[in-house]
Order: sequence, then C-alpha cells, then structure tokens
Amino acid sequence: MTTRTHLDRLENQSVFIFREAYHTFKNIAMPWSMCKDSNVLIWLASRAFFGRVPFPVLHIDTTYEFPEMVEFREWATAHYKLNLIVKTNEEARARGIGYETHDPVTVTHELKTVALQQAMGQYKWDALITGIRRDEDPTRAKERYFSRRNAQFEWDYKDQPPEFWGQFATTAAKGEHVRVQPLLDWTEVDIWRYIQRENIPIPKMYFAKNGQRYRSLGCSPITKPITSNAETIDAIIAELETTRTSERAGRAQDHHERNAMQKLRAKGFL
Amino acid sequence: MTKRAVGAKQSNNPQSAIRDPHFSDAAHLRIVFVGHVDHGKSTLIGRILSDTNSLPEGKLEQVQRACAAENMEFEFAFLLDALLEEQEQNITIDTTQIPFKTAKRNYMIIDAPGHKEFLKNMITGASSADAAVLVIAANEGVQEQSKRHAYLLSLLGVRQFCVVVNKMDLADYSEGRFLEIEKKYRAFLKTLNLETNIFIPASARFGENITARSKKMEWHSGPTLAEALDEMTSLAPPTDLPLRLCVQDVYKFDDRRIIAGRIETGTLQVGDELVFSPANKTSMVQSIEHWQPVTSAERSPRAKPETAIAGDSIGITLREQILRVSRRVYRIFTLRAWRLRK
Repeated sequence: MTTRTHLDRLENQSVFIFREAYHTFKNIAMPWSMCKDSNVLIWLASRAFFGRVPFPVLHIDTTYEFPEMVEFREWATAHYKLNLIVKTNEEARARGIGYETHDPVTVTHELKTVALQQAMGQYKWDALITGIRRDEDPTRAKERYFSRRNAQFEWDYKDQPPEFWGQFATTAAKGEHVRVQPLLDWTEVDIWRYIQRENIPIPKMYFAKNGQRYRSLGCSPITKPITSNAETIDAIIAELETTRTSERAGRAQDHHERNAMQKLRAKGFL
Repeated sequence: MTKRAVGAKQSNNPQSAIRDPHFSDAAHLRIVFVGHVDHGKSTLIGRILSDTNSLPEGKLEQVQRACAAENMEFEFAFLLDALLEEQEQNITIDTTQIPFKTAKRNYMIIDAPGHKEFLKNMITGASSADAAVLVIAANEGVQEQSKRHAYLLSLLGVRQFCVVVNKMDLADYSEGRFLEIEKKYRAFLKTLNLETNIFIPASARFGENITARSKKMEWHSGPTLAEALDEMTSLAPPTDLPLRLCVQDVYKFDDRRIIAGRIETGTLQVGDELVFSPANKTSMVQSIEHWQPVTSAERSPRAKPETAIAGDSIGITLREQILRVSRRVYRIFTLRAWRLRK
C-alpha cells in the first residue's frame, strides 16, 4: 500500500482547507508578503485548484520593503499569473508615520494592519487566507483554521468556536471577515522541507551571503539578518535542527514590549 | 457552521480511526494533555519543553525575568499561556499546540484548558490527537474534569493514553496516595471501557519522573512520562475500510470537470466504478488529476497518480459525466462497498 509522509499529510490538510474556503466564501483574497510561507501558500493553492490561484493576492506595501522582495513580487506575479493587488496606507505615510520617527508596534499597526483594513473596506472581502503558523508565536499557537474577525478587525481570542474533524465555523456577519489559515500545523522546518521537495521559488535573501542570511522577512528597517553560512536548503534545515533561537527573533515589532504580538494581533495584525 | 453530509464521518464502529485528517506517521505524534483545572497540565508541558531543551534560547530566562519584575512567582505554565489574561488569572483559556522532540521522534503537544467553561477548547485540542496524557493532582485527587475529560476522550475516539499523578511533592511522594488515586481512577475508566496500564507518579514543578527517573519515588517501577510518550503509536489512515469521499466542490476551470474532495476512508484507483449518493448513479474514475508544476516536472514522483488513499485531498474526472453532482449532499462510494452495504 502506498504510504504518505508527514509532508503529504500537511499538504492534504492545507489543500482541504483551501477548498473549503474557496467554496464557502464568495469574495476571498490572500495576503502575500513574498516570504517563504506565503510562497508555499501560493504553491498549495495551485495544488488545490490545479495550477491556478483563483482569487486575488494582496501585497501590503509598507514602502519599507527590501528591493529584492519587490523584484521577486514582479517575477512571481507573472510566473504564477497572479491577480495582484498592491495596497499602501498613503494617508499614514502622509502623516509622517515611519520607522524613522515612530516605534515598530505603531508603524506595523499603521502600515500593515490599517492598510489591510483600508483594502478590506475597498474590496469587501469576506475571507482572507493567511500564512501564519502555530510555531511562530504563542498567540498564533492558539489560532483556529477558520478564525473570525469582527468589523473592527478584533480577534475574540477569549471565546473561539470549537473546531474539529474538518468542521469549521464559517459564518461572519456583514463587515466581519474570516481568516483562513491553512499553514497552522506546519513548522518552520516543514516549510523548508516542502520548499525543497517541491522546488518552490523563494527570494534569495533567505540564503547566506557574506556570512549572513534572513530567517524571517519583514520591513527592512526592523528586520535583522542572522549570522549564517547556510547557502542551500539542506544547510538551512541543518541549521534549524540545531538552533534554539526563535524564528521571529529578528522582527523588532514582536519584542517591543511584553505581549506585543498579542496586542498587535488582537487589533488585526496577521 | 456549514451544513455537510456527515454520514461518512460516522462509522458503525466508533473505535475505528475515522476521526480527523490528522493521520500521523511513526515519526510524528500528536498528543493532548487533559485533566482538571489547576492540576498542572501547562506546568507539565512547560517542564518537558524545558528539560528537553525544546525552548527557544533565553525564553525561560525571559519569562522568569518578567515574573520577577511583576512580583509573580515563576510558573512553567507561562511558557504556554501566552495571553495576558491567562497569565493574570493563572489559567489556560484556549488550546495551544507546540512542537517538541525526543531522540525517538517529533511531537506536537496540545495543551487543553481544564476549566469547565472552556470545554469547547479542550475538545478542539483533543479531537486531533493520536494519544492523550490525563493529569490528576495528587493533593486533590480525581475531580470532576478528570472524569469528564476521560469521557470526552472516549467519545472523540482517543483511546491511547497514560495517566500522570502530578504534584506528588504535595503528597510527600507517598506510594500509598498514588495507589489510592490509581485504584479509584482505574475503576472509573472501566465504566467508560477505557483502560491503560500506565500510571506515572510525578512532580512537574520539581521535574520528578518527567524526563529523569525520580530518586524520591524509587518505588515506581514504570516509565517516566518521556518514556511513556515514546512508547505510544500514531494512527494509520483507515485504508482498509470501504471508500468514502465527501464531494467538496466541482471545478470547471478549463475543459476538465473535476470533482474535488478528501478520501475519508478506503482507497480509490483509476478505473474504479463509483456510486454517487444520494442519486445512486454510477460512473468510472477516468483520472486522478494533479497539478504538474513546470519547475519540478522531471523530479516529481507524483506525475500521474493512479491510486489515492484515506487522507488524500484529490480531484477526479469521470468517464461518464454525472450531472448535478454538487457539494455536501453527494458522497461517493465504490460500487463494491455499496453492494455490501445494501
């Protein structure tokens, strides 16, 4: 009998979630940051829908993007034939919100969460497919595959619906939306093994150059590279197998204050 | 909640493995920690993570510092109870999943809340587990949720578990107290048709019998918790049962009409004759469709799948079209299984 690996099972589970979401919600979009996880999402969507991503992908452009990421965005949009929407919170930038003058939690909220809210107001999506994983952050560890956000984007983490046996709470009132999170069960190493197995294109910044590489990618002023000589996926996996540093250690907004991520996420951050 | 045909999820045999898409493999085990509120589940997990070096560098110290700054006594549970509300009230509100590793394999630890108000969260966590650890505090003994959680595990079909009698430090590491709890709980489990031979006296707070054998309880001849976990086995997909596939959607992106869904039980092959319920129409599997990315065309071993098994999310085309097949109400059986069923 044919057997299935751990990655097969994760893939099957994610594809199942994608298809549930696509069937359930009429108006759906997928935020895409060009990071490794969101490229895995695009790949899984292509698997679920036989070679296409049948909904728009949304890039929240904070204007602090690494140039390599924007370059990758242009390449991948053409490669996968994506329906790309780019959104920037112009109003906040006009008010002078930026890393030069403000703390990372404020900027992240304004340029990512509020920008997302603006896009939601414009396009009225009733579901967003996100690439968050439980192993990234302890509040993400408490997420559901289908997770409702109210009209103010708030996450009612104190009263989440039960979710089991592939049964998801899919209802959302007008103005609310549901976050659909197909990668919750994946770990960082799973993501890398899958990228390797499937040969999924990702930005080059994940690979070491001059003794440094990026393990997690965000806005350029607040995202720090790690010391690493990992130039291949094999080397990255070997590095992750031994490291005890957390993946998002280089992301300043997470560590600005105690429970910063909880506060950011309760207000709508992915 | 979306309505769907749930028939395929309900087996005549409640002990079969038709529970969840989370069929694990030998190298990955999903394990849920359950038990009464304040009996130390999160502490136990925090201790395992800490003693097996599974925590990120500096995480332990960071939580210890935060506690000191706010004049709170450090709790291992704070490593998991990430929400401010959870830390302030010293209680787990929602279920958490955390990966962890022993020399033998990878684990996904699921921490489930023990307070009765959060039962739905406990069920959410427990429903996807291969196995469970039931935690009972030695000082309080068997309590309401110790029983209710065992009952829910039996309903959810999680039949593989061990019992940790925690907080033995509060019972002077007494073998008598341990045996008393074991006897009482064993009798209760029997009423649910549940059984386990593994009862472990432990102290999560002081790390006794968690990863290292306790010198304070040398009378215990059974395994430590870490040893007990390594002995547990993961669930195999139920491929030996008849085919059941709930139609998830029908795609017509191009000239193919693809019926998409996940195989709940059994296997499916190209050429199989299928019955579509409830219309009872039959057709044959023409192909199992598969996206073939350009970049990995030559490398992929999955180029043209001929067989699919329980747990697979697939898309098939049919030799003769069956019209009006739609989601939910339609379920697919193999013809042979269908005849047996009648």
